[in-house]
Amino acid sequence: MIDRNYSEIVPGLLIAIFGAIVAFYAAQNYTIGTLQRMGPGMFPMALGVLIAGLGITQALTGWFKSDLPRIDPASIQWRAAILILLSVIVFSLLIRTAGFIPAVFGVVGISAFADKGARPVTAIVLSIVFCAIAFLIFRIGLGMHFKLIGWPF
Amino acid sequence: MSYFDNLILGLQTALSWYNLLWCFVGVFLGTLLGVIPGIGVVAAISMLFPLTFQLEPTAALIMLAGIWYGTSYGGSTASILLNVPGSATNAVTCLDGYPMTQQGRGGIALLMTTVASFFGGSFGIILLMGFAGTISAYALSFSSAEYFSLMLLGLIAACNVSSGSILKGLIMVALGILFGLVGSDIYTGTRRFDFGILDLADGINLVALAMGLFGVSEVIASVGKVDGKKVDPNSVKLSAMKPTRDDVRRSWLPMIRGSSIGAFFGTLPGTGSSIAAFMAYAVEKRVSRAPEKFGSGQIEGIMAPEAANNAADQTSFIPTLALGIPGSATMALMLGALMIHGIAPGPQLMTEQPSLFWGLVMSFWIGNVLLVILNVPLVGVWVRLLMVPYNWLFPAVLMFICIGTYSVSNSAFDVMLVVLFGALGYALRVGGYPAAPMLLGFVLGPMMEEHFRRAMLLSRGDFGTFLSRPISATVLAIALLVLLWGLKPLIFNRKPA
Repeated sequence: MIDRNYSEIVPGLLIAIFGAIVAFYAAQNYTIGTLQRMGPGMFPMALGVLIAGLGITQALTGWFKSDLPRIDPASIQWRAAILILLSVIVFSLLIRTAGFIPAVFGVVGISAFADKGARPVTAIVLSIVFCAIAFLIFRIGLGMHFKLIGWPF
Repeated sequence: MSYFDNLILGLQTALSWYNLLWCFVGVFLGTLLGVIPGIGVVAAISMLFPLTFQLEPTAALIMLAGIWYGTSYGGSTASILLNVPGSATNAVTCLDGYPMTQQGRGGIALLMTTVASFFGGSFGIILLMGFAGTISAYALSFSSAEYFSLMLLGLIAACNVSSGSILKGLIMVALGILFGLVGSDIYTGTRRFDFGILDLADGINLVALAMGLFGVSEVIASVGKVDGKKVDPNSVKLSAMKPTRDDVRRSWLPMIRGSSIGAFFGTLPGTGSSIAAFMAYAVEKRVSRAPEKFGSGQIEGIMAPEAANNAADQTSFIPTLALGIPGSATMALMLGALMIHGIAPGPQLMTEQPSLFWGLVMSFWIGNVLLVILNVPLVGVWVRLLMVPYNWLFPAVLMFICIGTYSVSNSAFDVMLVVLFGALGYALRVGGYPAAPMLLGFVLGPMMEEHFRRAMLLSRGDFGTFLSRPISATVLAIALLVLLWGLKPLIFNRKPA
């Protein structure tokens, strides 16, 4: 009895579907042209077919081979992943609206909590210190111009 | 211009105050980021990549290259003192380096690996100086068919040796090429896969992709796993670094063997310094009269890999500079830096930009000397840095990633792309998909498409052009062999270890 490896099969199928969508999208929206005079759609379409083929192959290896490594769900760092990605999103939203200082406070202050043992005091101190360092390096050292602080409304 | 004139020109370029300054900045930051575990070399270079936009192209490359070989020097410090590799290239140094620290010989290990690094680096630079010219002169006769085949070989080789299965590597390369195609088509100007988003008209920003794939995902993966540790400051005093006569005697041959192995693997596409270091260690173990002693603090076990990774760092510039074909993710970033400054990579680089090429090569000498100074008398500074807790460092890393990406073109959209690629990079890491082939595919993809379309245009749509040209056919045959070699374990079940 072969033990089906779903950490290979599921991603493989998802990749195959993605490849098929890419090929279809390219064929629908861009000129394919001939082999001699390729249009902008030829290469992406071929690439989509290739990705689909590779995805199917991966799913098949997961179906027939049981000795490939599996994903261990316990090893995923959900807390770190969510907080860190959120901190970068906050930076992206604040940098043009509220300005440089709130954006840096956002990214440092939120990401500091990605570590389980983080305390609010540490996060605030780190935010202030790194804000000062960033100001010295980017504004004074490299002469870049940012809006330091402003109101989005 | 004669070879000698070129050397003088290079030396003059490298010794100008401006370039000297950026060379120092590069190797300094390289050592710094190499020492800190949890920030690999690709992440380090992509973090500092935006800084180079403000510089002249020569200085930009000198600095990026300094970071590249600087991390190999700095990485051994954490390997030896903490048993945590500062970067992947130094992982094998832990095996015998850390036991030496436990025996109170950590200082000797630090000094000797710096010597080995310098030796390996010098060996690599000499080969680079000797061969790059010959190869690029030969490559001037290459047409699009040859370029396409060489790039294909590079990409397939990159999948094969990276960790995990070749299939996952190939998927990553293909996705990377696809990301590379986003934006205006070079022949017709048609905007592809931009979904009407104006920010994507010029394609996906290389910095955003690299920062997300390598920077953000690496930080996520190392939070809570890396921590500052106590190091005995006495172990790194100069007086504790004096090697015994026996240490020196036993170090010569491993250093020479390691450098040769490293230089060879450095030039191959897709291999690079980590593989070189592992191979050098394996060879030392095999030629040793007492292989069972390896892992208990044998000096041979640190000299060979450290010489190998530094030699490989330098020789990996041969294909990148002589052909314009990068063999690793880091080299792809170097090439990206060139292209952003409007310099076309390829064999004509050496003749059209002699001051850039020779200035860069000669700066390697200066950089390696600076690294010896940074790593021997100043090692105490780096050791203190190792004691800084990681949970203070990573918010700073994220801040630099954000500001760095934003500063490229004052684009908040690019920062959002970092989030996207950060999430993707972490998911890939969890699933065991290597990220390096994706970056390589991203940089090489558009060039491959261009050469493929041009070759097909010239051959009037006949695929035979790739096989009728002898160099192209040979390269494709090698690529096929590499592919089959990589697929072998997928077809036959592996024996349980």
